[in-house]
Amino acid sequence: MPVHPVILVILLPLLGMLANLSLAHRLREPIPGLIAITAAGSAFFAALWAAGTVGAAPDGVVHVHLLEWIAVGALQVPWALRVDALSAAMMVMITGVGTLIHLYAVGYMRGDSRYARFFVYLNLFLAAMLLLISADNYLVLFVGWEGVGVCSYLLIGFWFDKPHGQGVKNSTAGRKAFIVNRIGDAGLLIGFGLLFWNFDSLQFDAVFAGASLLPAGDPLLVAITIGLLLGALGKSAQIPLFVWLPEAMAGPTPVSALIHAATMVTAGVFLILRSEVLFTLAPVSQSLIVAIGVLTALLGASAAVAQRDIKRTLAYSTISQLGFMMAAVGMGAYTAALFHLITHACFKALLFLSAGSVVHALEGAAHHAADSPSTHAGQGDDAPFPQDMRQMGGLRRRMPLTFWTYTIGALTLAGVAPLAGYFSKDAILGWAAEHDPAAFLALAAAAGLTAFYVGRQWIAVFFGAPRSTMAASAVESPSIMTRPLLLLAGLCLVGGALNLPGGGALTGWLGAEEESFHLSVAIASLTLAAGGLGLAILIYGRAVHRSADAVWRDPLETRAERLMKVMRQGWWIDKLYRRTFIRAFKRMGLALKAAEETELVFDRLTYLGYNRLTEALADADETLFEGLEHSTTDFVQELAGASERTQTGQLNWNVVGIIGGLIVVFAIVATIGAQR
Amino acid sequence: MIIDMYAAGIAAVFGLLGIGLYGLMTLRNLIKVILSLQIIGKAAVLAVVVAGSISGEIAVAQSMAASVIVADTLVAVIGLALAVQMQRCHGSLDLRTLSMKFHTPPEAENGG
Amino acid sequence: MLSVAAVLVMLFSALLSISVRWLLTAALWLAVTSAGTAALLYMLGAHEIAVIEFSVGTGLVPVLFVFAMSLMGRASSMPTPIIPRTAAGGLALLCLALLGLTLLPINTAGQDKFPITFSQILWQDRSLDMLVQIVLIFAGIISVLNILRRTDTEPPGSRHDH
Repeated sequence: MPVHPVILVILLPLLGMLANLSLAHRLREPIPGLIAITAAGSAFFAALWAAGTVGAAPDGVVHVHLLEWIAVGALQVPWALRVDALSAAMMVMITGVGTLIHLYAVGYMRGDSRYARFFVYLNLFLAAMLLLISADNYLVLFVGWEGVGVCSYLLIGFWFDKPHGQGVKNSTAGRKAFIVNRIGDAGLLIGFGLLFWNFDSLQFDAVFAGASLLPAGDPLLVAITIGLLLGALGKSAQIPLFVWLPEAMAGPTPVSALIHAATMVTAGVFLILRSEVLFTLAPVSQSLIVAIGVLTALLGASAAVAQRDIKRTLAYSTISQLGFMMAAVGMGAYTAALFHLITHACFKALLFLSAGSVVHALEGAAHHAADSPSTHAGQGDDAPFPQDMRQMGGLRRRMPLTFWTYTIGALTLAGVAPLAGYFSKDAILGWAAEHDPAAFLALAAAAGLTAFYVGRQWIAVFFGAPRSTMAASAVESPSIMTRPLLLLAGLCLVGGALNLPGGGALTGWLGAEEESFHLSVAIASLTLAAGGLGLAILIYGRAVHRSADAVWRDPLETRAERLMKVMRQGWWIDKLYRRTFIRAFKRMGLALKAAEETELVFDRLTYLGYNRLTEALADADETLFEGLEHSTTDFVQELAGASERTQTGQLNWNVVGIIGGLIVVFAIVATIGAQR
Repeated sequence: MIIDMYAAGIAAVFGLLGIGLYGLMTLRNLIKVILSLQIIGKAAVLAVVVAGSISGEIAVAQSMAASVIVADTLVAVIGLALAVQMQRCHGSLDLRTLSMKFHTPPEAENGG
Repeated sequence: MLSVAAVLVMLFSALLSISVRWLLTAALWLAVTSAGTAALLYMLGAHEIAVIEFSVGTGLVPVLFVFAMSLMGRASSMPTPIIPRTAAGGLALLCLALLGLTLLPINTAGQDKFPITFSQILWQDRSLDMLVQIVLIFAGIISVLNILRRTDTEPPGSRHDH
């Protein structure tokens, strides 16, 4: 078997993980980080090498067969990898950005009690993500898909033991991400099942060949693509499954940058790009994707306007930008979507890492202040919360390097002309203007909002007077953290060259059709960026300078308090879920608990899982969603009443349940078999 | 003759499976539960081999059966170890007694 | 004829092993069941697996059961089942009947498709499985040793988190 570099790309992070895992307790602090960086960095070079082999391969696709895996009748699923233009581009992006974030994490995680474990997870994540993108069939892709999900869960709840209930919140956020993603994965599995059922294979080429024999708009293809789409919606945090991403910010900032901005959340977009053939044949699903993407872009951007937490703003921004990509793939602008995916990885990683640098500095300052007894006077109502933008301000002078890198990131996100984000966003907008005017208008509005919220954040963090003692005494982060920032900023400056309008490198690389360049769209999007930023400066620039008393007053919050509150809570979607599904489920749990002998597992599930939600319910708004909630809960309660007698918690009864289920399954299979 | 053997094998699979399931439903001693699982495991091994024998892929079936035996033995080993722990810590192997013991009032957890 | 005898022995001893009062006797009957299974496996042509099943099922597992029982003393009570015996039996039979229905058209075609030997498949095609199994076995042994050891150092009832 000839060894292909793509094997190294996956193997190296895996080896790094194993090394850290087995030696963790023997190594002193920077060494696990160095091992992880070496693994990630060498994976980057291996990725470049692998990308180089694509051009020479016939049809531009390299298939690498590693091992037999599942071989049962028609189901032949080997461990096989595929390197083509799409996966090579993703691979280089992931390992490149990943290495920089590893570097940054060495500085960020310094002194953490689980230093080595953090890098174990980070390397495992890289390996899983690379497996996801270089898979040659849907099942291997799924292994990577779940692998990154597990890492995401582990890393969101990484600080599960923080004091004052913060640790519980962190682990709850991790659990929420996991559960919400499971809902999407159910759809994904149904999609896979349908694929195998109809095409007798899960290998990409075989599936696509089988699918292209079907007429466009075939209901089967629509069902399959909607199943896959559901998975993508969960992973890429789109409506209706976006609720986990803002809370995923509980993880350490390098994690937010790597997993929840640059790489993992793009897996959903990647899945659709990979299954491009299927989606092109299912126009219904495509228009559904466009609708979801556009709505998510608007929702994310508007919610980002109202955030107070520096990282939550960026989280909603990520949701919004992923909406852009989704809308792009839905409209068939696959190159533009991939282009935006890559530039977004650079600039969002840059923004997150810069934000992390700010948080890190403020945390350090707060720590310092807490240590010296002279400054503990005002510890009453405004306890230091280093992620709260209301407690920042004036950091431009204290952290000049971070300020400049953040500025570049912000301008890129806003879409200012020569920076990478401008070209990629413009490619999407240009395509939309040509193919779907309604989507174009909505996306343009979202782009304007984007410039506005990023301008708001930029001003709130870096300008005006410091609004807390933390902000006043913050110092610039160490060079191990700022150097990756500079590199990423450089990428943002020149990244646009990757695919200049009128036939760029990426278009040629993917062998796609050249996209036409629209001057009017280019001017419109520049105007929008400038307008959004200008509006932000107009509204907030004066506000931060006027507040000499060093208190944050959001001019929008004084004007439209109610609306801002709704937007800050993500348009109350989360609340809607809490009041329907979760409350219903909780009631069911309560009813079951009332049974004579309560089930052990069920108690754990219900009570540990939904503790936080009970708290949240206590102060929730009572007037909303009452009707919807009652109909659902009443029904579930009746169901619960009927089933509570069986919940005795004894193994014997559980076995009866299992056998009952088996009987139902066998009956269904037998009747289907009889009909055939 | 060979068909008879398949029939016997299938009958054995069904019989062992039935006995194992019946045992899981009626027995209350943890050790006996593990024993029932062993019986079901034997049914599984037999089923794989009978299927392989019928379809002519006995070698593949054997390699699968080896996995089943390994997994099954591990289940017995760990199950027995846990049963020993149960007996030591809670003084009982009776499922009913144990499930009562583990029932903690949810209100206690709800506060934290 | 031999196969029918093996099946009868197997089922009889399996029934006894779940219905006898004494756990030790039950473990011995399980060994007999395993021996019957091994015999049937041998007749079906699975010679290697028959040997493995015989050594593991008749040798190792009953010894484990006896070892576990010696650690906790002999319990012999046969409390009345929570689920009525007839109901349990009915459910099991219904389940089996439906399973049988789904299996009805058994295809006996395709004899000896691949004339490959067991060892070839086991050590070459399924080498990864073999490695994983070896790791699994060791993991099981280590975890059991851990579980058993911890109780020796701590008095019963004081089992807190590490």
